Amino acid sequence: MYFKDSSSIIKYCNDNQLSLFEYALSYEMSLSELSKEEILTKMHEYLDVMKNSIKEGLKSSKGGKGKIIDRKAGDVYKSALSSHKNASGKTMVKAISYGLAVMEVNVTMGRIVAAPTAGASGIIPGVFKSLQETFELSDDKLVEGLLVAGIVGSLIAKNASIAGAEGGCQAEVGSGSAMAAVAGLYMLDVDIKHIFHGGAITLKNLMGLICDPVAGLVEVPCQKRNAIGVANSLIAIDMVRSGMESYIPFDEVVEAMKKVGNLMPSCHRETGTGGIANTETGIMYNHKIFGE
Amino acid sequence: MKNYSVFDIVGPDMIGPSSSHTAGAAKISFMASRIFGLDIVEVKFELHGSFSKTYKGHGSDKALLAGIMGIRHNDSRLRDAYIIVKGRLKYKFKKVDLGEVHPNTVRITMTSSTGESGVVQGSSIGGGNAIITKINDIDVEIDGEYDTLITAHKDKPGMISKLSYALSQEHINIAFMKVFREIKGKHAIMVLETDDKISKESLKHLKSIKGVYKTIYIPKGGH
Repeated sequence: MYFKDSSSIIKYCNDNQLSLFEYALSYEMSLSELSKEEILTKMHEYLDVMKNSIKEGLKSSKGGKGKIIDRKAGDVYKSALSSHKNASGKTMVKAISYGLAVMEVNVTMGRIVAAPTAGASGIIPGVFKSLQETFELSDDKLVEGLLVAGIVGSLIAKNASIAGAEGGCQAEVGSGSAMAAVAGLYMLDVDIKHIFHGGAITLKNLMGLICDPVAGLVEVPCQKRNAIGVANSLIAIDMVRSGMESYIPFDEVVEAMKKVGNLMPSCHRETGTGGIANTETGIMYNHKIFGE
Repeated sequence: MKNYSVFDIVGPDMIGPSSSHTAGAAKISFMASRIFGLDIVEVKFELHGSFSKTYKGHGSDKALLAGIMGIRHNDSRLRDAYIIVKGRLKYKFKKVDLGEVHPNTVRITMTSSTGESGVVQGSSIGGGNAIITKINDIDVEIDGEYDTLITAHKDKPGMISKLSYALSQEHINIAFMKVFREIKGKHAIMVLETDDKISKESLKHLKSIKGVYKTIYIPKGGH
């Protein structure tokens, strides 16, 4: 029941004719000793919080600003509704506006679901809402997807890390994007043999990404990193559904990500001292907000 | 290797922006106010390490104030803690060096309307998880992940069996149990984490046991 990697889970699911969701549910029931109903009810609550954070976040005028960033999700969303063309298409622009919305709610002390962390909390809601709109998925299906996302994250947490302080941004936005991609492929009924390719592709695309928050705040670059996390998941889902696969299997990509994280200097792991945090402008913001 | 619950990964639901600086901070002060158990009129937060450096940027100050007033880490009122606190209690934030402790540590000194005071210290250890590490001068370890019962009682033979027997009579299953004390034969603190909720009547009953000075109940933190 408790497996070390995705290939063992896939084998177990195939041998027992279980879907990834059914596996996730029995895993959680066994581990947390909660009933099926309790688990699904809690996930439904989380889904509601996620959807509500998108709704709140799109009302850009409300709820103030961050210490550095402005609320922009509403403007991005409006641009998807306008008659003008968008470079990346209406579906993509809407999806990233959802991811931005959640991050902007987070920054202004609104209510979100950390998934896997607060700093990467926009990705799963953005991808899930976008897929729900495009493919007319039910809320029950999204709840199944959240459990699948949880299993994917638990494998990454177990074999690598989901904390920016340990593995850099690849561990937060990378992991969130992988969770959303695998869950998305599950929700679109892709065969279990193929769905972890989505996780491998998303993690590879963001491998090595450092965590370099300006002034140590969850604002710059986190807001826009959530947008790339959403986009990364959606393109991976489309690639896998068209028959593309990752040449390197998911489990090996996770292992590589752990090694890359271990090699990262501490200035690139959420200390706010490297990358863009250590630029002239980054340092200026830090002084402006915290003095000294 | 640890097996993570899916709710360790998806969750907690919380008020942003930072699981360790906001949600964790709110959990510490919520637990602290429950442990103190009296009507708080004055509170002092002594912030150590990363807490002292960045508390304003992450809203840790609002989270700490909210928790003291009983507002939880996922309650939208947290953002308005400074408005809600007006006229309710006096507060003070101070940057300190508490020595060799976790970088996100706060020491909370609370004073009641009757002039009693108590000190609770806790650390935010990542992912929105928090632990209480000290109650007054006694080192403890409480994380609020279970329904938690804390008793202050006389350090003498038979107290633990009396308390655990009383719980078994109420059909409350003890998941974990630890006893802490400062000086032999004086005060002891026992922390019991249970699988079942503890009712007000049960708490009253436990408190009536001879040698028990105080019982404190902290309902499960929830993700």
